[in-house]
Amino acid sequence: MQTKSYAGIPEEFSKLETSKIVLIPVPYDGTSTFQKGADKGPEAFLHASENMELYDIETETEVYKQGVFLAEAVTEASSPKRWWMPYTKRLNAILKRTSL
Amino acid sequence: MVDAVHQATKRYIKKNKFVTIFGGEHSISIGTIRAFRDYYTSLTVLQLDAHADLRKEYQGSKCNHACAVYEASRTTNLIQVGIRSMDVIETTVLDKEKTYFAHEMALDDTWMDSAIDQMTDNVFITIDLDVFDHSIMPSTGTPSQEAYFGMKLWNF
Repeated sequence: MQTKSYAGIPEEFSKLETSKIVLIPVPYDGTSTFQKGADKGPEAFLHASENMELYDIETETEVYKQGVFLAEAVTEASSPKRWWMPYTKRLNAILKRTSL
Repeated sequence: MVDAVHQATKRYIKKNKFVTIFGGEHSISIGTIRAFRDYYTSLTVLQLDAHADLRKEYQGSKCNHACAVYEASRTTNLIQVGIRSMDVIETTVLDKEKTYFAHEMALDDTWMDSAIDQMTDNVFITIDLDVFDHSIMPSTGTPSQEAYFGMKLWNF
């Protein structure tokens, strides 16, 4: 992910500790059968979010003030399933990839 | 992939966050729903989608996008909205009482209240963007025409 935060919101609203909302991007397109490109979705979504108004007319709120933390993307893409891989090894791999 | 998404989702649910996952294609929902099931009993999965995604297996995998909610159909209160494309094999899995087909929705608005009445308190929403008409959302893996236009669905 090139984009580091959702909708370009101020840093005080994008920290994990104080955020009520967490976004997890999964840029994965391992099994689509017709038009490809779903893996490009998260980056396109985040990029577009930077140019969006933060006030919501219908609910009369600014939801980002609840805090929105953008988690590290899940990028495991070797296979749709990996049942054969021992659980601890998988978990270690995930922890290694994340900084939290 | 299913396991990686399952673990990542679980990690943030555990921290009491409102977790939103965005893809990517629909197979990412398998691990996501599994994580929510770990924490919430009597979970409703509300699926907004053009396709039923109820195949038990597709192209040699149970984790294909065409199987996105098969597991949820067995383990959660699955409500399907906007469906207009499926294989005949999926009719053996599908629960007609909790499936709202696009051609029926176009003629009758009572589906909204009916679907809401079928929900439990804990609702996980999965949106496949192809639920929107392809004139609104052409850039999906399998765009589908003949339904469902923006504002009414957002209202729901």
